[in-house]
Amino acid sequence: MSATSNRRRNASSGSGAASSVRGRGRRASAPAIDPVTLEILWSRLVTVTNEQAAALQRTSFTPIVRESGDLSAAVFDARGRMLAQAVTGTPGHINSLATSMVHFLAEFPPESLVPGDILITNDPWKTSGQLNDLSVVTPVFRDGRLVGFFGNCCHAMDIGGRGLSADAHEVFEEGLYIPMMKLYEAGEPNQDLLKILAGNVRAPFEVLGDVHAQVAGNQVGADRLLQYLDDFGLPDLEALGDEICDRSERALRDAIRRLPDGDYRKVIHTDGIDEPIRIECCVKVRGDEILVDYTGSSPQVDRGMNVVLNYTAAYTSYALKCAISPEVPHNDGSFRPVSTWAPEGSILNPTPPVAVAARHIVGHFLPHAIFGALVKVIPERVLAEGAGNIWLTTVRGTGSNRFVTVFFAAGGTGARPTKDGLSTTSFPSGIATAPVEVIETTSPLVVRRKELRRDSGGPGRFRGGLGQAIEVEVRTGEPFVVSSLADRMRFVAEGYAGGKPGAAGSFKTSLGTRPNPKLSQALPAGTRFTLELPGGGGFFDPTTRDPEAVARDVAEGLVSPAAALRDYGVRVSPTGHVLGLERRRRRTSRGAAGPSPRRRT
Amino acid sequence: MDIGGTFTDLVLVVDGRVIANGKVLTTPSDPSVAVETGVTRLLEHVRAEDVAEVVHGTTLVANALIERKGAATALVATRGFRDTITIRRELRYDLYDLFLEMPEPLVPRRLRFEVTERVLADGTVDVALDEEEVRRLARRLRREGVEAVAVALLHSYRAPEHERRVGEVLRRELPGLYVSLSSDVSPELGEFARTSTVIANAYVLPLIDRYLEMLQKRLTGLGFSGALRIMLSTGGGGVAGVETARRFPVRLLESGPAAGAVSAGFWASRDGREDVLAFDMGGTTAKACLIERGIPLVAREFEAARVYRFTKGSGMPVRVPVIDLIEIGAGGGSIAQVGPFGLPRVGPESTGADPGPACYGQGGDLPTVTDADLLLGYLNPDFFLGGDMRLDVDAARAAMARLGDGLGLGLEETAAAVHRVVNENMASAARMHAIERGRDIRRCTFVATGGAGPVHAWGVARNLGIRKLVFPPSAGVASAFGMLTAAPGFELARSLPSPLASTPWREVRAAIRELAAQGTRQLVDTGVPRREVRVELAADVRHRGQGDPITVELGAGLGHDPARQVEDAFERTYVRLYGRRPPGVESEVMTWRVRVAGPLPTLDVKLRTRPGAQARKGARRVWFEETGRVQTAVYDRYLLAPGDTFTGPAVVEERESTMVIGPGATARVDPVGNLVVEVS
Repeated sequence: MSATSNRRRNASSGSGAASSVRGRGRRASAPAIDPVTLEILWSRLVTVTNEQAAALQRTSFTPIVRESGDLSAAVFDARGRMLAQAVTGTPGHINSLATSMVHFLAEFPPESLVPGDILITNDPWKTSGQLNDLSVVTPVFRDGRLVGFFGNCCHAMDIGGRGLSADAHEVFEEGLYIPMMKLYEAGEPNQDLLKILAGNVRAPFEVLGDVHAQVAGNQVGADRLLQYLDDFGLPDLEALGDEICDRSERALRDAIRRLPDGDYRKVIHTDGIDEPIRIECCVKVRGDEILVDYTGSSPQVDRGMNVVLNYTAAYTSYALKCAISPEVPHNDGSFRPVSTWAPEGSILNPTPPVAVAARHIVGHFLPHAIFGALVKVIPERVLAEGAGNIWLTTVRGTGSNRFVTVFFAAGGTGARPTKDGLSTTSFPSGIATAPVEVIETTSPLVVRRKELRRDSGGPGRFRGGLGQAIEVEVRTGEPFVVSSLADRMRFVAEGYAGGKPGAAGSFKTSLGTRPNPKLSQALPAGTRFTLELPGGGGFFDPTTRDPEAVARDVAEGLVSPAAALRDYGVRVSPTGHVLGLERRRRRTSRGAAGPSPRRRT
Repeated sequence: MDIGGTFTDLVLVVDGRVIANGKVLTTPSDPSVAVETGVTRLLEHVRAEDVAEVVHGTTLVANALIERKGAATALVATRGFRDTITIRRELRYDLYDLFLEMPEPLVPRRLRFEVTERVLADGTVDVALDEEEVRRLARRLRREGVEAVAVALLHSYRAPEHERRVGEVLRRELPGLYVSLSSDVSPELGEFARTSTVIANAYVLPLIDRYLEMLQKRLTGLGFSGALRIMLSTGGGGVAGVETARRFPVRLLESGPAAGAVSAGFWASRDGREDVLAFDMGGTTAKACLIERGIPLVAREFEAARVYRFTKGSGMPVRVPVIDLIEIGAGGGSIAQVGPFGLPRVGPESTGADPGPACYGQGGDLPTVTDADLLLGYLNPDFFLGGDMRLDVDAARAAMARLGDGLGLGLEETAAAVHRVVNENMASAARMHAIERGRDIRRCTFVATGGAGPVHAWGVARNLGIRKLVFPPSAGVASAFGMLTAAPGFELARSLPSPLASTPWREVRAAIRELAAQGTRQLVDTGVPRREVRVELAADVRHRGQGDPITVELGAGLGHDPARQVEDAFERTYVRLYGRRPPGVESEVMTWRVRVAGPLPTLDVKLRTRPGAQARKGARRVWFEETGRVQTAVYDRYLLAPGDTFTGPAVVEERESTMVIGPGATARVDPVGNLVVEVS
């Protein structure tokens, strides 16, 4: 993670991304593949990566990998173009794998690789932004000729250092750093590296086991790929790669061309730790290309919340895909028309050696900024601001019972232009939370309540999703330390197009205090603490909400009669009957059904 | 008998031989009417009082959940936890769909009530139950007009007393109220899945109870005095007595598909020596299921009433043992179109039965899989449903030509494209299903059923690298037949999470004994002799603190060193699934499972032959991926006799379907009437 490597990264994936990626574009005059065979080859290639990911996911020792799919897996052609990526659980890995391949090939040019070589790194700047994410790349040879690569990136259970918190000031405090190197050389494992790895992590067997699972996953992919080339009589992936990339690129360019040219701007803030963090984004649509420019965002910070450009690009790409082209898969072609830029030294493109471990608590807000910019042009395809990052809460016993336990919780998502938001559902991350009974079985915590927060959903014709309140007690009878990667305690989730904001989050203790949970809080024995997760923003003016929908929300206890009157202008009995409408509604109130929702069968 | 959405199928077996079968239209308002009609017809062949048992499966439960036609149901939860079924696992099941929806809970929030009580993870009572509050709640429930109540309190899998007490008070205060306890229905760790399960159970309870009561009355009225058994969702050891079904109707959820898979296993490998991939392709979906040692793989959890039928995570979890099958959006009615990259795409959208494929001539003009199958020569336009329905070749051609224009392909190429693409879709899904379960699909025998299954079996099996296919006889009533091949049995489970090293074995043994006794009693009540009841033990084990457990088999029960026994079994299973396991990591058992089963029924299914008949009825030009269009022999399934052999390419027609056999394959008819195809 030297300054040099950082410069190289900027050269290939920073401001020059669009041009340099296009520079590796297609070669002319590949033999055409008929559309039917192409469809079958393409879908079978995606299955190969799904098999690769399934093999890895099944054999991983890390629950977040196994159950939430916190990994990525992909196949590349011999030139390092990503052709297909497995469908897995979190957006943070999206193009970071593709970019990391550029770095791998710069460090280890194809001619330097031999059968049996396997490469590894966890360089946050070259891969997916934190040391816990290990990337493993396996070149595939056929009759001695390099035909492609399988790569995967997987969240390790531990990497030493301080664990997943924002506490560190430099990346050196966050754990073991593995420069780009060979994990296997001509079939021989790099025992020195494995020893160093085992000696620097808290769960050596599991971490090494996961590395082996990563190797095995790539091997499954490689075996399937060779069989695949045989089955279809293909010499290599070149012609197929051209078709896949070109068609994806064309489809994405077509989708972008349907947006009017222009600069669409949005500024949002997140709480930060000491100072609020500003995310300024300008989505520049030019013909069939998009540049997302984060100039104006906060400078990098002295805590582990900095977001490397790869991760910035991943969430940018994710948000654009959701809003513009959900059907176009991630591959080298679909990355060509989109580029992401953030000034060097900013929180969205920080320079080493700043700390980065908890980059998600800023990164998860990027889709909100992008949707906020796009709502001016495609209001029908975005959702209002939601709770933002998933809250990760850590409780540590500091008495004689030295336990550590971690649990997740989500607030509400923003309302959609055609439907209410989802209550207590994480967006954009895709992590499942543990049942209370599991938390209580595996730790001395007792959860006293876990329930929806009435009136926390932002009012709108479509209401934001509700947050939740979680009250926790620690039954050790001893003092403990709690921290939570919480946010939206100051900056609430905004509504769109006249919709109102969702409720702010909060962290309270039974002592009557409201400390900042992002910093570890030592609490005396017997203290209870309560997390109140934020609600999502509403969409469209709340006085245009169907009065019957307001009444239903009151009957269900999601909205109080007082809020129904104040926010929606509807007088509702506590049992959910409409008693009357305020004068201000008369103009706007009609049946408020929007266009019919998109539905798959 | 199998009550499906459209048809009620019946099969009569006398002295181990299939004597007759029947098909009558289902009567949705009171399904027992159709049963009576069908049974009355079968009574031409046998006297009612001679029938020893009636086995019955139904889609009523699944349909009630999908159509939300269950009872007005309330939930009673621990104070602070009435939102468990809304909060779910806080996860979106599709990362890219900003417009996705979560299933609406079956119980609205205003009918979800809380009682003051709290049990901790170790089973100790932290806050005693406030019974006065429960009595007040009963009055409230009466005012709300609630018909069924689900009770789901925290940690009740471990300490069920509070739930039982709530149940007693409510039953006493409100006689006639249907009450379902989570500690009875699904005593397993994890409040979201357990609550969702007990709600589903309570929701269908009044409906199924009334139906089964009516059915018993009608059967008694017809003179039946034998046992009435109900097919469960598992298949292996999967038939239970009517009392069990009336208490746990949610266990009937997948009884139809389970019976279909048991039937496939029966035909392909009665002795269980071969592993089987059961493949059933109908009009809108295809289903695939792995069968090992004659028993369909079982999952611990099922998702009912998905918002998006083919999307995992979009339904309500129901945690009961259920056949582990994958459903794929690929059927005869699947629509073919030009996808976003100018490439052909097939399904998951379907024309359904109405208007149906273009060739049905019912006004549909979209090209479908069935249209392609017709144009490729697989289907005989004059012998669809045995000739009851003529297929309109011109309409199929016109629809396919429009698609061809969009793809820049000729008519035949387009039809071939649709056939190949849908086969690839199904093969991919089946392949992933096997991989996720650590199985090698190429070793399986492929058993094809359903109207479209035998047409596509050749292409799908070829994609999967499978070399042996079996087409069982009388596929039309496969589910009803499967019920007669399944053994009576039941699975009970109880979560008692504990590290293996410090497991309270006395408590565990007592719990297992209780489960076994309860299961045995249920079987004996349905007429299984006590000495023929087999008991099998299994446990859900995981590495301490890490993720989802896996189910390991423990044989007939716990031996003298139970910790070692569980550890060894866990080790074996873990290594088989994942290749290796970490040393020095503690194991913990989450849930104990007891399966009780009676003996397998014996069935004699030798094919009756008609000597001297000429099975080959002609030839036509049929398209194959290997050769293009070639002259192909056509056979009449009903005139094939055991021992007959022929080689592909060939097409074999029967009433319900058409078997397509590719070039170079050898086909033979085995003694029970299977058509067995091997790829050389």
